[in-house]
Amino acid sequence: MGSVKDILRWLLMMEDHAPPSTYPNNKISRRKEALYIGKRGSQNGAGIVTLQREELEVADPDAILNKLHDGMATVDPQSVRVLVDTSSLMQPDAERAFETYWVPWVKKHGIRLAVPHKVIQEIERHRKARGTSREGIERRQAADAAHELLTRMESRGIVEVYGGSEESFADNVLQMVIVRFRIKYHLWLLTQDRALVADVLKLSNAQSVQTSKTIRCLRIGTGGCLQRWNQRPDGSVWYSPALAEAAFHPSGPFQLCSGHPDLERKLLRVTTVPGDSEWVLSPAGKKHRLTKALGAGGEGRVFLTDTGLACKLYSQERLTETLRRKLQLMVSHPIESEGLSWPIDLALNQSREFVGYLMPVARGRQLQRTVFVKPLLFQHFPHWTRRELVTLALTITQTVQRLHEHNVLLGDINPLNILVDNERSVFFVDTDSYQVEAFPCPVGTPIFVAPELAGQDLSKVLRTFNHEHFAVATLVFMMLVPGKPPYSHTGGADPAGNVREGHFPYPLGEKKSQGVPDGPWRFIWSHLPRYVKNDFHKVFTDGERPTTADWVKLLQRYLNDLESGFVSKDIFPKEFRRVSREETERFGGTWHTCEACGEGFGDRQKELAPPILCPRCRNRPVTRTCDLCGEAFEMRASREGNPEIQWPLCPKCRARRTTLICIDCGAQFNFPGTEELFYKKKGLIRPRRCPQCRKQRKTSGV
Amino acid sequence: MGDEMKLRKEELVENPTARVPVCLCLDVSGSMTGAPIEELNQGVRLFFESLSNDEVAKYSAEVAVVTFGGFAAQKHFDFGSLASQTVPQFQAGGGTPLGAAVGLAVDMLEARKKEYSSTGIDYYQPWLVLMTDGQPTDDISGAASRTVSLIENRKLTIFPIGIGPQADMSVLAQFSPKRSPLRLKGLNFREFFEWLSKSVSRVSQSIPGTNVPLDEKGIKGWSEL
Repeated sequence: MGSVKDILRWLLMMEDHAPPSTYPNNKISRRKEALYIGKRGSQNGAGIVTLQREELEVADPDAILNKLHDGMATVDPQSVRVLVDTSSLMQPDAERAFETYWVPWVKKHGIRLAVPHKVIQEIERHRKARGTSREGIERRQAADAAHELLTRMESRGIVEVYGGSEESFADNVLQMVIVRFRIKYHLWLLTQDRALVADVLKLSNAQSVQTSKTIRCLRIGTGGCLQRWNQRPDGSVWYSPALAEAAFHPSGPFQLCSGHPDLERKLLRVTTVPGDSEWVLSPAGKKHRLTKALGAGGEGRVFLTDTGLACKLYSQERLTETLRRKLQLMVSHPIESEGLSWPIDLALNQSREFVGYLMPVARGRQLQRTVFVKPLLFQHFPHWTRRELVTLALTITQTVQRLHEHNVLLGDINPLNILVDNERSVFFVDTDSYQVEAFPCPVGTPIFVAPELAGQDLSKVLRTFNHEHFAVATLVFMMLVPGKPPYSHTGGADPAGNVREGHFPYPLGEKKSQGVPDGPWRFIWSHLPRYVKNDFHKVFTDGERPTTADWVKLLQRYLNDLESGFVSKDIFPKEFRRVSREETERFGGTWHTCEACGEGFGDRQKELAPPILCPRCRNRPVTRTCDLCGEAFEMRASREGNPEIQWPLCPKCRARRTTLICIDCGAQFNFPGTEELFYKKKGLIRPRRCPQCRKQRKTSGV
Repeated sequence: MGDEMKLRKEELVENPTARVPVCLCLDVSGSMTGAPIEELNQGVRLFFESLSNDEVAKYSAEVAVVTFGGFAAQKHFDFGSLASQTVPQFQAGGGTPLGAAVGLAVDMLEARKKEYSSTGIDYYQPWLVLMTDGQPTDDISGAASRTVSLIENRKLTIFPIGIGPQADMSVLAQFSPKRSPLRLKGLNFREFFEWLSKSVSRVSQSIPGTNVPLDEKGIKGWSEL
């Protein structure tokens, strides 16, 4: 322990912190936060229906309290102080125990666990030790892990390191502290050290008559459970079985809700939102100074803080009670996942009013600014091949899968919310917009919004996994065909309109290509493995949506094929995939020989109209002169032999339509460019009569 | 196809980003001589710069410029990738052929939309930014009926802006059935173009419904009632 003075100061400081007034009263269970009654298929007054009920055994922090105090429900948690010893931090399951018990405990009661500075010194000593025996190595590793855990817990405001670095008279000080404060507080000591426990319990038992407060000792057991130390009459100590089950990770799935919630939008009365160089508080009282503005958007601003976390602060017109409750729900349910900017804690201003939240700092550049634009892709990842591209798609889809496993729906999956560091490391940001329980995701990006949702007010709709799967499929498509939305086609229009129209132009088997956009996209498509094309057609043509897990499996298979060389590694292949004769005949096609280059090629049709050209030669551009205007233009070689086009016309002339007036009936009629050529060749300029009148003259023999 | 045209077509089709075509239709008549035309030049330069600096907007925004002064509307440059365009410097002089300019701008926007559509490129509703400081010197009814019909069919968004006290707001209003024209605060071209470039970026971001909400607060930064 640090010096007695330090401990005193710490204990006194803890006293001054009255429980935060804006901190929600967590006696209301999480269930009420989600506005539902947890029975299958039941509905509450707000029209929210729950789909499934998970039997969650979340460790209720107060359950520990009851077990430790033999069911004395009158013990006020605010009068308990917890001290943590080195030995417990170095336990292998320490992290589990912290996440399961101590994090909910601190978040509920707002009082941090105390770690004496002596513990830091001991951990450092263990980390630097040079023993080469197996125990030595294991101890070093345990010390490293303890250091990690401590750093993380400290930045989250769960523990506070106390005391200076003066030399301390370890055990003596501990006993002095206990003597002094056991009258005022219930003290809980978390340690694995049997001998220490024996001393402490003896001390506490010796003076138990003078106070109603108690001292308890706890240890971390296998699997991260908590066990209580007890003393026998002869002074020896033993520990109880687990006080509560450690089996369930507290971050089990959220409840899945559906329906059309109309959540309250009343603004909170907030005096001020902090800005640059000012600071925010976590509900437990930890200060975070805003050091650097990282970005600003329509909702507010994001800052870096001096504790290494990022902080999002909303603009005043966004601060509602509903938002606070949503974030509170997310905060009390941590999803520790690498690459996820999940809310760690609420952020309060100096008057302890809710203004935002704290989260891990994200790294990387938006998908839109890297993968989705070719020059940027080659600028940032010049060495990438399709292997890295598919690996990235896999990384992203796996992160989405993890969220789905927690029953968190992203809602607004889009390339501005996903940051790419490299193909194996991505960061998901704007997590506060995700849909959790009955809190919808209020926004969407048109390309990713399932057609059945189009036009609805997204802030009043709870999405389903089916909606998500549409967005996931679109995202995977846009990663494999970099940046091109699946419903883009020639003759299309704005992104939302294209989704509404639902025309997926790419070919597969019998289905021919219709309106594939110009550019490298057709080549990319041809090189995708058949099973990939199949699944895209399932979603975009047939409306059957594979799940996120299905896409993960598919991408893993594609990655395998890439690594074994079965498929093209080019991100932007320059030509169609050459299908082998064997493959052509296996799928019922016929093998032909190209008249121009002599190569063989496959086609579905048995008979081909001349000229018989392979796809390469067919698409080779040839320059011709327009018969009408004399300009040079390019067209595909295959069109030369086309009997419909006897005389070549440049696209401009072909598209031109002049409106003429019939001299007989006076009606207007169209005179297309194709007919112009006919007239020109006859030595005439233009027809004088409309087609109907012309026909009449012919039949009446004039 | 010439090499240059080929390059243009390649640039067009290889960029899959959904486009926001913006046509600036700017008054360079005699009354703009002096400080107004200078501020306008600065503002337009700032517009191009801030678009180019935003990596998302850089690939989605496409800008064309039509000016009206003298006796005719002039196409300063057509749509194309931002990188290939050099920012113009305008000179003031002559009358105000507003009608012809708007007609030309609408033609250009329609032609560009056709190009997008025929090559399979997604695009958002085009924007026409109309700025004038006085009275038109030609007939505007034809152009006005075109814009009105496009706007009512949700195929065009127009920003009619009056510059200075002489600008005829009722004329501007004829082009815009849904949005009343705004008057620029003094010569705050820079503020306006900054707001415009931010608004262009917002088109490609997440939205609560299907309509992109414009930054109404930001408008107060450069306009006055």
